[in-house]
Amino acid sequence: MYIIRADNLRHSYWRSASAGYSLDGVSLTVQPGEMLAILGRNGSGKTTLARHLNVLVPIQEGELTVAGLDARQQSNVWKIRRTCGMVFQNPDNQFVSSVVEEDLAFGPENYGESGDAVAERVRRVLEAVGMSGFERRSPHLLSGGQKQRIAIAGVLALDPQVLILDEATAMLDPQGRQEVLEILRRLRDGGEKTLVMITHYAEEAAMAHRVAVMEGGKLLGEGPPRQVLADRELLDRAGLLPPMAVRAFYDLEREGIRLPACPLTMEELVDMLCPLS
Amino acid sequence: MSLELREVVLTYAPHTALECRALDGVSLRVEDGEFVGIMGRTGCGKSTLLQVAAGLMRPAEGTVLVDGEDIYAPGYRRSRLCERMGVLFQYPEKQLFETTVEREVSFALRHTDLTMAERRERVCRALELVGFDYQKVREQSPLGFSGGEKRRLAIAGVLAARPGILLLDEPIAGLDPVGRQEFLALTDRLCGEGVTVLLVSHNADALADHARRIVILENGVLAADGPVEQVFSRREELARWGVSPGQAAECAEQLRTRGEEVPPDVIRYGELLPYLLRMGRRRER
Ligand SMILES: Nc1ncnc2c1ncn2[C@@H]1O[C@H](COP(=O)(O)OP(=O)(O)OP(=O)(O)O)[C@@H](O)[C@H]1O
Ligand SMILES: Nc1ncnc2c1ncn2[C@@H]1O[C@H](COP(=O)(O)OP(=O)(O)OP(=O)(O)O)[C@@H](O)[C@H]1O
Ligand SMILES: [Mg+2]
Ligand SMILES: [Mg+2]
Repeated sequence: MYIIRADNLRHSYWRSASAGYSLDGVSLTVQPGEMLAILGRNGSGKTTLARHLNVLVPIQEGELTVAGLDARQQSNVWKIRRTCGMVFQNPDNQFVSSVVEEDLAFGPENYGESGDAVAERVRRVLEAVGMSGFERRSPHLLSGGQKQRIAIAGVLALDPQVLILDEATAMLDPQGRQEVLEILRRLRDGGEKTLVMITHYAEEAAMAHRVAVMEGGKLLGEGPPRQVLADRELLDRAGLLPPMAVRAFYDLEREGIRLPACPLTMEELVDMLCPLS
Repeated sequence: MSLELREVVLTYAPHTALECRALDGVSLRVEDGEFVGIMGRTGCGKSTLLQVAAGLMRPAEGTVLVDGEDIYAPGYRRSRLCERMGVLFQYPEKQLFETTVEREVSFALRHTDLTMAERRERVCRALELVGFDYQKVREQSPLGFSGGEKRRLAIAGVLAARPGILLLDEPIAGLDPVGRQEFLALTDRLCGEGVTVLLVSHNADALADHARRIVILENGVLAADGPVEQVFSRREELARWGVSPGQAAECAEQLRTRGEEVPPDVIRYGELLPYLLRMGRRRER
């Protein structure tokens, strides 16, 4: 059973072949509990794919099933959106209220949850993203990183089955990034949520179960991070760069030094070069 | 062009329950052709500092001088500032509002006395610098671009005016890895031609490679200001300020805790590599 099954999705924002396709025949499956990272250069179609998973654009060609629901059927759209919560690339596009706590409560209340339970959840998610004390502030009048934390809290408050994060860590400071990645790691290890994470940082993709690489609206390759992130030829064709640890692995190799495996993080590299005795 | 902030204080929503002192007496002088990286934890005042420096928010106290002239003094011509200063906001997609790319990118040239041909030339060059084909995109609507492409458009809009000072707020967030490298190389080149650059980023690896000087804000106060090697080796204070010195520096520190001798000024990948090689060779034996 897949939670997401896309079959040959095609999409043109202008509904014309001559204008080109932003998604050009993407087939992809995601299992429940899986964490999928999506890499790809600017304009390669990542956000367009994410918009499909949430049916924010109509399915033009191909098929998409989310949690067993056919996305082409208008009557399923609402249920699919309840299943897939999304953090938008630009947080300003996500806020619906001018008060943080109301903004966070809006989604859950809209889905019919009771006031007390929602208030408690809002408190918890604000704490999780390190934004307790900002309840009465306006989300639009926050710093960039603060906005992004609230946007992430928004999807956590919804507690959806599938979380889609479109470059949700781009503006975070090191501590915020660590905290959010830790939340994602916990969700990943919990095994109950499905995570789709779009990112420009190969280092972040390393924590996923699987990495997909997009280019020109197509899926150029996919596989476990250890395979994809060490595949220089694939990354090169997609206009991407490997993580620093992979770069080091090949620089060492060029000098005749072979490590037992290709490290994905600098921590792994250090462990290989300089093991704790 | 030089830029100087003198004892700048800026308070949002003054005299209300939400009052927030975002800048609390910041003084900073940046000379012609300097490349300064501005860092600090979320909400410490980096974007506020750039906006005050750009003449967009009058400080409650203190002032800003551009080439020695007080830009908040009565009678100072703001339109001149627009031509000389390029400002890229943190979420620049919000800045895009024209109907075509050509209009969007030439917006900053509206007050200049350039001819049509000169304007077109400027727009064409600026678009090429950020990786677009002018003929292909000029008539397109900026709304039909991806997130990163919109950022590139906004960058082109800033470059078209050929400003003497660039104030860039997280310009590489949202760019793909190659785009990041190309943009930073371009900024380096402009800097070499005498353009003054202030660049806000949480990406310490990028700043270590490109900025020569680092300024760190903490709670609206200037916490550090100095050469990048020096600031990035103040490890304990960096942790307190919520700043990471980047992957290479973090790795060097890990090696140190395992008894390796790595000097404190190793902050870039190129400087780290010889030590990795040394350990790799030892491991082989
Ligand atoms: N609203 C839109 N209208 C028309 N074309 C669009 C629209 N949004 C995106 N496109 C085009 O579709 C293509 C894919 O865009 P998409 O936003 O999916 O890219 P992306 O991989 O998310 O890029 P980025 O890393 O820059 O966010 C791009 O060529 C873009 O110009
Ligand atoms: N328009 C506003 N109204 C009220 N307060 C604001 C406004 N903009 C920012 N602030 C507050 O001022 C402080 C400084 O914000 P600023 O945007 O300068 O931070 P920053 O250093 O750029 O952070 P980030 O790294 O998250 O972008 C923050 O606490 C923020 O909440
Ligand atoms: Mg995108
Ligand atoms: Mg900011």
